[in-house]
Amino acid sequence: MFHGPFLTALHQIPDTQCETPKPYCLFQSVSPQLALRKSAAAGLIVLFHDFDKQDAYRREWVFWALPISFVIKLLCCLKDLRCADEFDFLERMIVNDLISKGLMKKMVCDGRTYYYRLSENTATRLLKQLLEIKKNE
Amino acid sequence: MNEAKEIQARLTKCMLELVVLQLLNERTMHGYEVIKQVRREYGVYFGPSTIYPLLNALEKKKLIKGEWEMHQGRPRKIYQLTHHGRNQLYLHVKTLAHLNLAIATQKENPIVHETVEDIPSTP
Repeated sequence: MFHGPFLTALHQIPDTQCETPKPYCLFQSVSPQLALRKSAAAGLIVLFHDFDKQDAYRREWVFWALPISFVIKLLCCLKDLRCADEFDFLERMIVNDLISKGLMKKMVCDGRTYYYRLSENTATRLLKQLLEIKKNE
Repeated sequence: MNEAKEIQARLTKCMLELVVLQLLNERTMHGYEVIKQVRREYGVYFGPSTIYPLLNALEKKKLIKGEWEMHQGRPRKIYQLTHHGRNQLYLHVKTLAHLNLAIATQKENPIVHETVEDIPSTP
């Protein structure tokens, strides 16, 4: 009988392979598939942050775990301007990370900050996961 | 929940120096490991642009000491707490505990008392 990683129950995945995702927090995983499964079970959406650089010969992924309400706000930025006041402190922290990576744009007008033009690739990835979670509900 | 997380993030940011000293008190670490440990133990992410200048500042104050070593063919600076740093950490922790006690036992203000009890123990 095949005992691959996909047949492992979620609670059997140790924290050394994939940390438990918490909303608005970063978590580390040895594979994106594990991260996706664990976060989907918690009703969270995964967004790539960085590779872990501690060990030069071992690749590990670091992801943001985002709640659905925040992802919907982000997706609105695809075609629309959204004022920074609509985002709270933690959400702004993640948005600033996206801006620093060039995945989103920021504009200051009349002393107010606006976020717009979310990268299409990012939006597609977020939307795909969002639909997957909604389908399984 | 968001508010609790926000307060946690703000407080950790305010006391980042103390947090780093506490981490280095447990064992020696390099800069990237400090970033990871802060994220894991305190649930708040501070990037390299925050942590590395802080480590340099602490080294200038002689609270920590950095030594270069080779790891997998790459140079890596390992930081450890100095005697002066340990004293400073002790003083900070003592003052903080005193402040915490003073706020928590403030009977005249029941709201403050309630809020302190509600703070979750784990990040």
